[in-house]
Amino acid sequence: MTENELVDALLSGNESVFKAVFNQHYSLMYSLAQSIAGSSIADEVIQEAWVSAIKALPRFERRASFKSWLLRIVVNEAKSRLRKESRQVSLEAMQDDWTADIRFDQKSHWIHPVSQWDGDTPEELLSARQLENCLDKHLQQLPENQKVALKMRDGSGLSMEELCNILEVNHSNIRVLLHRARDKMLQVIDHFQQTGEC
Amino acid sequence: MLPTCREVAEQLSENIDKPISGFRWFKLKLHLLMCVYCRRYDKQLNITSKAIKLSELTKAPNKELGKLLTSFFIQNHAECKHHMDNESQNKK
Repeated sequence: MTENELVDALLSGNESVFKAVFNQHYSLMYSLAQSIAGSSIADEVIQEAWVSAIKALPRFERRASFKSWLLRIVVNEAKSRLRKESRQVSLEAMQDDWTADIRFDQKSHWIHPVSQWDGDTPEELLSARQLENCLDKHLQQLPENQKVALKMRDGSGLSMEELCNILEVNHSNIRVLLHRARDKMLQVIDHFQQTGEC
Repeated sequence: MLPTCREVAEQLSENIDKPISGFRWFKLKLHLLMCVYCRRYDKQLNITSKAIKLSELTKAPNKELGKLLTSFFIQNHAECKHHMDNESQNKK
């Protein structure tokens, strides 16, 4: 079924297509909602997002993909819920000081050798269950914008264009967010490799 | 002038998302040829990116929520249809 046929089927009230779309996107919607608003209200965010999407479907202009459109509604709903819960949220909150990275010298070269890891593949690395838990823990602790970008790009394989559409930021910002997030997770694995501790 | 290790670290992440090309790619490759630390970092960054994918759990759909939203979807469609039918009758 093409994207246009899918949207047409939803517009004509096709129940089985709706159920299939709900099931298909649930995991990614949950991941996004959880990253921004927390797991306790992730399902509520999904519910509100779907209600908004169903109401707005006749006005969907098909310029972006249906998935991007839907996920953007989830992001907006999650941020809105978070504001209502009186907690701080900001996609621009990326003020961790990148320039003061102590791994580089004044000429921006590595101060200490980059270590070698025991495992050569992600599967080997994650065979240590503790490391998987550790990765998950530190992923949750990333700044919200980095966490969302990393989960969507590396976790769920969304394209850069989709990320730009959903998060409403440009390519350069996404690149910075992804690099910072990946680099932090790399340091988590590196620490685990060196010490065996999370 | 070749990029620094810090710049290379940034470009290696960029390269995962969109392959670097042209003279930038040439300078990046030249730096990697000369710098074992950056080559290690390159390998580790790719492993990290793939490990994130592996550790991302697929969450099973919430069935209750699915039922609730399906009911809303049907109801909303019926209301819209009713509204449109009324409008077309009024026009006649």
